[in-house]
Amino acid sequence: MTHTPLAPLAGLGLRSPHIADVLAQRPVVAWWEVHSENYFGGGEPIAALEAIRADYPVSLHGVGLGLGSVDPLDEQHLQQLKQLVDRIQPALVSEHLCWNRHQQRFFNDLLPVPRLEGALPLLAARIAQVQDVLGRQLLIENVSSYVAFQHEQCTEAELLAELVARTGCGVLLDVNNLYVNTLNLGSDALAEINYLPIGCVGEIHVAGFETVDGVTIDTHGAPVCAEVWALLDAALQRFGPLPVLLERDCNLPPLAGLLAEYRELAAHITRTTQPEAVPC
Amino acid sequence: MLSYAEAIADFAHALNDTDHQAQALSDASRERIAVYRNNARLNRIDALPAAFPTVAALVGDDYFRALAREYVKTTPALSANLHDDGAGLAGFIAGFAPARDLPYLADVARLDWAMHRAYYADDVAALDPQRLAALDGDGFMRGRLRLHPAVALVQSTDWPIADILAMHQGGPDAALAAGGQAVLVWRSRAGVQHTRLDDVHWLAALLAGQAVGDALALAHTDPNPVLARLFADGLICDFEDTTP
Amino acid sequence: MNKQILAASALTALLGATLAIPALAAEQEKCFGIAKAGQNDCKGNSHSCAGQASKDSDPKEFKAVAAGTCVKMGGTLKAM
Repeated sequence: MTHTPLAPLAGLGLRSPHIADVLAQRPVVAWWEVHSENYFGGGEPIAALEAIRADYPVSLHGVGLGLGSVDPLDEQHLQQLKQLVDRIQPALVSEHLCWNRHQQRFFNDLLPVPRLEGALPLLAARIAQVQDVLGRQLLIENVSSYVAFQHEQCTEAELLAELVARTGCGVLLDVNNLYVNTLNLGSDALAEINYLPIGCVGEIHVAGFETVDGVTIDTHGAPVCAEVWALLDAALQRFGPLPVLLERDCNLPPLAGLLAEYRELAAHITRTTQPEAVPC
Repeated sequence: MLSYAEAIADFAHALNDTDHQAQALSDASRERIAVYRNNARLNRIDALPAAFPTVAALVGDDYFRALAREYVKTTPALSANLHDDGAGLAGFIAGFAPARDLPYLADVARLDWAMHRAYYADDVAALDPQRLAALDGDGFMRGRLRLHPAVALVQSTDWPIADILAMHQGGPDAALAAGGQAVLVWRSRAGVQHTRLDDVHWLAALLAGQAVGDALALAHTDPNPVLARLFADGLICDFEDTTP
Repeated sequence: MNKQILAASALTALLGATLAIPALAAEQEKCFGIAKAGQNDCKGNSHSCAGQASKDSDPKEFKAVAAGTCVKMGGTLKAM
């Protein structure tokens, strides 16, 4: 079982409440993405993932490596990821552009990296280290942020583009996160898309958000909104056909409901990337 | 202007200490660090009931959540993987004054934790039976067995933890007066298993890495059914031959 | 128990156990029906499902009362 690159089709986030149904029904889904950490260790979780991997391409999406932490990378976490990658042979492996640890203390969240002096060499070194250990390319995802740092020196797209140039990593472009940042921080989502070099994006994420106490929170708990669909179209126009993942974590509907949303995404991608031939 | 490392240190300081204002953050967004404080805490609090289902059932949701909040507040996370969180909860409960009137709770937490770890324990290949078939009784007695990481023996000096667990799996109400019990936890193809074990010292010695003969000599009842079960479920992973 | 007899019988028991494993064990269909929830799914967002994202709501005192199945065992005990 060797990994093959993903076809530019819609994929679906696979969450544990749906695993038994997916194994029983084998629904028509082009590929699945799971959170890497849920399959660390042995036993039932990874056995289920192997059974799914036997029939579908799988993308591993990490939420815990915390590439931007000033603390060294957690060596055990990295080895667990390597074991998982070796066993599952995923089509893609991705992590977030974030940090999660300071002075040996973990914060179980995706914390935004300050785009300040010192960011580039540290992040580039960490990405290179992970790619060396895994022996393959890593995709780095832009994150939702609820805060801005003072005196930031570049945009997130500029930082990602430079990391791509220095390490050969790819970008996992989350257009929902871009839109959440537009709402919370006033950033320019289209400008970020248009800054990223063509060819560097390996996967796109779409999801829904919710507004809580006046802050837009990236909950992955609601359907995709019109603005995010528009950003997806802009990204597909700029970067060409790509695998696009629908992420849903909160307010998880039953599998049938999620599959309906998935088919909506698949139809949308087809409309955007294969417009009907127009007679000239 | 702060460097990258200084800005992260300032952010971390503000996450740990609600009185610290993160100067690294813009004036307009500084207060929103509360979102991250809450995320980091609530992600842990929300994950703990799944690791401690018996404790959570014993005390009820509201109490467990309040207990988890106190634990998370005083115990830094040692892993980015939420499945690893909770290693210290039993110890925390043992020292937590408001839980003193539930003196069995810490031992039940140790049992929950052993079952949680058994679920996620690494896959380790079973010992090739040929390795044992080549031994004589003396060689076997002198050697040491290494058991699968899913195997754990949880002992309570004072409380009937096996009965309490059984009660939460459809069994009769446990009587606290029944006294101390021990539970063997392991993982088979069918999932995490557990059984009450009354004669435990030999197995504790075996798990601690004592020579097979020394461990078996501690048995008061026939240890073979337990050994055979462990072997049949692929939980005896290595034999260290100490024959000179 | 007699160490010699015990060791020999334990070895026999172990080897006997290998014979007791069905030969087709490796081909048995695994059951995934009782999977635990993956706790790393909601990273960064589970809180807001409960509408608690942006406010610190941290009670200072522990006032909870144990009200689960412990009641069936007589509830709380006297402080030890």
